[in-house]
Amino acid sequence: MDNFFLEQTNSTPLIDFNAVTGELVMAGESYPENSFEFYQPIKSWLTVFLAQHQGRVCLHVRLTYLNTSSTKIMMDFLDLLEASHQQGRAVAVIWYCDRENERAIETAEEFKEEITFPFDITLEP
Amino acid sequence: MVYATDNETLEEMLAQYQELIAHGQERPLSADEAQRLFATFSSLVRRFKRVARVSDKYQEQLKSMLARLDSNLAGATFLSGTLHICAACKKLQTDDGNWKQFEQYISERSGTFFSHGLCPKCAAHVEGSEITAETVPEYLPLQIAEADMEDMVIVRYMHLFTNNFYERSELYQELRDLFARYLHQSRRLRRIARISDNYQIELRKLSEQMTLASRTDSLTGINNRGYFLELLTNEIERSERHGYTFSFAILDFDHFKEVNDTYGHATGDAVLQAFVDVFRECQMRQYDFWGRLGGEEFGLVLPDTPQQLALNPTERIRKCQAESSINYQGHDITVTVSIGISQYVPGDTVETLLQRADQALYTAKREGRNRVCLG
Repeated sequence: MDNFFLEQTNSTPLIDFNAVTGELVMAGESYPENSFEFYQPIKSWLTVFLAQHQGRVCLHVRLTYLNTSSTKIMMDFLDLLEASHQQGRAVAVIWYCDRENERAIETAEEFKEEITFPFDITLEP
Repeated sequence: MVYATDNETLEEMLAQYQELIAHGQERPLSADEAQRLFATFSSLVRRFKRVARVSDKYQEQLKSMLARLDSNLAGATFLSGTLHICAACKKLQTDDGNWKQFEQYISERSGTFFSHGLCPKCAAHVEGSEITAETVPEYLPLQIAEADMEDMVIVRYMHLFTNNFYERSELYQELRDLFARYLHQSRRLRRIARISDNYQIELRKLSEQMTLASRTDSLTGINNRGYFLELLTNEIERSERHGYTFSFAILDFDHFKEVNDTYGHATGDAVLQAFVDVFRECQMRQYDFWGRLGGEEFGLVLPDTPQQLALNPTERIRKCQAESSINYQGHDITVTVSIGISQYVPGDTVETLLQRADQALYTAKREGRNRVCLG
């Protein structure tokens, strides 16, 4: 299975999903003109990947802004990971936040409450 | 094809179905009806946003509904005949017309509606294949929190799952699953709204910071040239409209180049920064405004003030500056300012005001600096 890679733009994040290592990276800001259109191929890739790949999966999220649709899609991603976790896979999310930004940490906590697998909020300077 | 999209249509469907049952023409749900049911469910999900807070009145309704349910339950004890329940699967046996009798009794004495469809097991039997659930997470036991009660749909249907009366009904498991999903979606919607609000607040803060930054001179922290000239333009328009006048002053440091050349640019910058403090000490009126025009040049606007009356406050600034100093490696450095003033007359533009104030400033410089001159 091919890796999935998209360069970061002003309104869309870097997507760097590695099919071999299971390291999935999202970084930047997310407010695409059409979020569902933008994320559809990514979601499809993730679905196929979770069905085929057996090892540990770790999603690294370094997003400073998500619009409402992107937020909804992020929850869909977490759902997919949760389902995979329920089936016994080792799944983890590392969510990176600005140490100074309390609201961003609060937001990360909101995402964390949605799932049961390890979700690490890493504070960065 | 038009699908049911609201509760009313759903209830119409139910009524039609009940009629079928009453006439003994019951049949399994057709694909279209099932589709309509699901369309209705989807529309309920879409309506999350519009669900209003639960009012006390509604709670009363709920109570009376429960009371009605209780009385129906009491009535159920008069059901005659024997109901045969399988000891293993706990299902009512349908032979000997037992099921029909039970259904008729319940239908007549309550608002309960019996929907005839295939359960996953029977459907699998009919289709010859196992029905697999789509990959959704397992839901926790249904625990309704206070916040969930904001959702009218939850309030309306939760009683079905908070007692075990319906547990044995055929559709209970599926309905419960549907309800659990609804509950999950309702909570998620509230969470997404909270997250979205957080991001929007961040964005707003950032946008305010950017607006402020775009208006501020980075060295002195006061209005920059662009924003100052914008405010000046507003003042011209205001004065033109109301027939007011105002004074405009250019404040320029004397021999500033020498300060930079002798003590370095950092010292020159420190002189400009210290000037902001001097200006503040001079206690101008709240609606007077100023900005850095560039280099060592500042602009000041005194609204509703003819230039004769502008002399006093500008003289105060000049004097304060002449009496203040900053320390550089043990030396006290004093840098004076010259000030040129122009007064707004109808027809003036930013350019003409700047021009006349510049001329007055030139006069002040020529006459020996450290002074205020009118245009």
